[in-house]
Amino acid sequence: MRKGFLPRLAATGLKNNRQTYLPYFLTCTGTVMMFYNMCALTFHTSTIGDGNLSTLMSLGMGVTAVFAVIFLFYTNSFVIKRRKKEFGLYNILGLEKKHIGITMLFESLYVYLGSTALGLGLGMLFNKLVTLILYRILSFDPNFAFEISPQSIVYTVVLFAGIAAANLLFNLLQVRLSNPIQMLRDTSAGEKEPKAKWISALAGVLTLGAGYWIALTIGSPLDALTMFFVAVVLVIIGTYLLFTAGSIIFLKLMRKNKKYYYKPAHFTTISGMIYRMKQNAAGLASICILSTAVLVMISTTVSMFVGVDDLLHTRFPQEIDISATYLSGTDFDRDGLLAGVEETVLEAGRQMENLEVSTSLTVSTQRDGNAFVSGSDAEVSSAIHLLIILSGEDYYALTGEHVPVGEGEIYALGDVFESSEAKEWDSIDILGCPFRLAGTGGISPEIGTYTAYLAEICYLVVDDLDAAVPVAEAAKATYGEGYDPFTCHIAFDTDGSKEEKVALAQELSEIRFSGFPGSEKITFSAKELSRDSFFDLYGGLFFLGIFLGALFLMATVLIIYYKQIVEGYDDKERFAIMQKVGMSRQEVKRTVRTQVVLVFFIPLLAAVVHIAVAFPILTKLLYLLNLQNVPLFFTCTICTVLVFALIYAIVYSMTARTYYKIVYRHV
Amino acid sequence: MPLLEVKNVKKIYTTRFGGAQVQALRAVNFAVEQGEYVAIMGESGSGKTTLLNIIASLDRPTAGKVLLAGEDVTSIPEKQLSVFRRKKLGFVFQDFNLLDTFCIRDNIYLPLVLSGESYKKMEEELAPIAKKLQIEDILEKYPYEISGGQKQRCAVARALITRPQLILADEPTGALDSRASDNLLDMFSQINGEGQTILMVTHSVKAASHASRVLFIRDGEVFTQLYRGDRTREAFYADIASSLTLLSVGGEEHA
Repeated sequence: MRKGFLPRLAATGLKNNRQTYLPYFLTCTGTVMMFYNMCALTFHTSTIGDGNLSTLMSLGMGVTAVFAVIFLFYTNSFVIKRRKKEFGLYNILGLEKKHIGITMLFESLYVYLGSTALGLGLGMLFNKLVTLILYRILSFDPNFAFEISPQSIVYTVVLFAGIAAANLLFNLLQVRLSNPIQMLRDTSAGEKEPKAKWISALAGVLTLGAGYWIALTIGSPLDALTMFFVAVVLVIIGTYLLFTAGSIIFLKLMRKNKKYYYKPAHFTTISGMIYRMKQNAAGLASICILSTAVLVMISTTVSMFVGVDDLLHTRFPQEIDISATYLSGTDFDRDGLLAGVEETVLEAGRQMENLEVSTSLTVSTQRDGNAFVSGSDAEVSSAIHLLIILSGEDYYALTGEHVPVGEGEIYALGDVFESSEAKEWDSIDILGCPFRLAGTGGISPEIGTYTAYLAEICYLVVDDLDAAVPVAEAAKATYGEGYDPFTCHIAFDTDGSKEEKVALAQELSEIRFSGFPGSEKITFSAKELSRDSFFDLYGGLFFLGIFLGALFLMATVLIIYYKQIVEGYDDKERFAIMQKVGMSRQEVKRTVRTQVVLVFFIPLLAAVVHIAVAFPILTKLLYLLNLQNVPLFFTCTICTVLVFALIYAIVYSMTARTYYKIVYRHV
Repeated sequence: MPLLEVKNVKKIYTTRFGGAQVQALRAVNFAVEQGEYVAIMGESGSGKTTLLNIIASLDRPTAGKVLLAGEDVTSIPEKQLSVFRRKKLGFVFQDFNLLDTFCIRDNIYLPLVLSGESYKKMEEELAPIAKKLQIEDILEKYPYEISGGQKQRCAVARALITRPQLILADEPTGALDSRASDNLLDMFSQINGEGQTILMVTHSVKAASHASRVLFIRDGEVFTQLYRGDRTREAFYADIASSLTLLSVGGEEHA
């Protein structure tokens, strides 16, 4: 064999199959570009801020890498399926499998080198833009040097070499395992009609139903956190099962109805759909899941970013919060601490506003009847109840409401005490300490100091906080030595400009409270000082959401494109036959359109249903991330869905055109 | 009036880049009477399939006319062509052209469904045809589950179910073994015996010997034709074979 023949054969192979190879090549290029950028950002941001941003970016890098592996493998399997016939022909024409292997090696090499070089080049070009976008989002100073990250180049080159090698290995195995006649033969010939799988469909209905049920009925945000992934997994499984088994059963039922089935408009569509569902159901389910992921990711990160001020306000109901913890029995000088703080504020020339001073004992419990027990003692795990025990005096100072409570009594406020069950109680038990109930009620008004807690809050008012000492002892026995039961909160806003607020917060934070007599630990938090790190975090998340959203969108688009091409080739012959038998061009066109539209928009529709059902659980998760602005999230979700549907429709019209071209070429 | 008249049909193909022109049909003239069984023979590249495609309205001639029961096929507007094909013509192809997505019954129903017939009507039409073609037992099967001979009989059923004026068959025995071929040809004879007009393009002398007349095409023209008359099939076979020999050696004989 002449030298240089196989490399040239490989080049010709790529050129002649550009309809399948070009999108594959572009996919590789795009993924390389995305990965390089994510890598470069990770290294670039490692010097910025408190490391949160870099952690986020490395998370994004990981996701992109995993995605690249799965997705390139998926697209490669499409490509090799189309090439098999050609390789079979080479084999018959006298090319040994060894030579075919070498040809394939060259092809992979060309694609790898070309796409990696182009991807890295474009990646470097785009890097500046992407960094600029990130900086803009984070309101950083956009003055930075354009830099090429050698580390990222190495990472990218190695990762994609690995992927290319794995794909080549897979392809070689495919060729090795099949004989030339098999390779030559049409892949779709003799494909059996799929059987109706009732059990799978039923399992699909059950898992999807269970997932939906969890999403719709979830109670507290903390439960949402633990159950969210369970629900996601259930919905994914349910989606796959229903797409694969449910769709076929549904179509077969439609076929059973003779009056409906034997109509020109339904006849070819239904039979065609049954046939194609077998090969495409999994792909459609993937599109549905990917679309849902894109929608969730973008809508949540966008609303968090847009609502960052809301978030700050939820997390920091008041601008400055100084919390001092102390042990029961110690002589803690609350007034002394307050005086010290007031002095610092006045020295800075600021005024305190909305001052809230309170001392409380906070215990996290689970409920068992009218007994509140520690989590480890609970027989049935229920929602977490955060019990905040306050004196009547402090409660009045915070809310302006007098609560009638006598010695040894407790007045309980909270949602749990408004249930009909609670109305029967005349006493409650906290960590084994009994209290007679003086009365119960709901929570109103909210107390700023305590609204940042995310669990279900109950206020328990006693006439003197000393009455809570036994509870404190019990808590200490349960939670161990490090637990300092009593906390004194001093929370307030200040006047002045943003700069003045920051200056005061910095000054306050620098005062060493830790030596304060009687106190174990004093923590200090200030809204203005956290603003930047909040921006880093939510801005970074927003950026990641958009970035990964774009990546997943690209994946969705390409899966759709490949599906249409593969289906186009499969359908070409069928439509040629139907035209010979007397189907008009218009009828062919109509059938094609119905099928393509169904195949395209069923996943989108399912994704939108998923999103709608997931909305309640997502709002609860966002609640955990301090976003409580539901209308904002709602608006963001609607907008995301609309934009996504628009992009999806554009992709549809473009791929539909390719599809028509393939179907009509020889008709 | 003959059922089918082909008058001076000419077909020139131009290659894609407008270069060389290929003359597939020079000037074809012939007529088929109602109830006739005509075979068209010729070597590969003689223009047989082009001619059949033009008669089937799948292709348009460069010049000339094709009349089916007096109606000019070549001037039917594009939009009505499919209806015309569906109602007036029945097709039998070498590679069957059954759709894998339909069971046999639905494959046969396809033209009727496209015409918007009721299910009851379709059932009534199918019953006698299925019986005649001996495919009653395989109606619920799929094309990839049955043999070539069975597939071709199903294709014949699909061609017959619309009660077409003319059956066009393109190498119907081309993909069949000899037993299945014999079986199919017997059925064609039987169908023709019931009055159905058939026009068949074939390579096979045996297939052609079933016809009542054979047209030989060479270089895009009807070169000669043979009538079977009262001869036995065996005698007709021998005549066809010798005409073919003449055809390939290149004698100068005209019909």
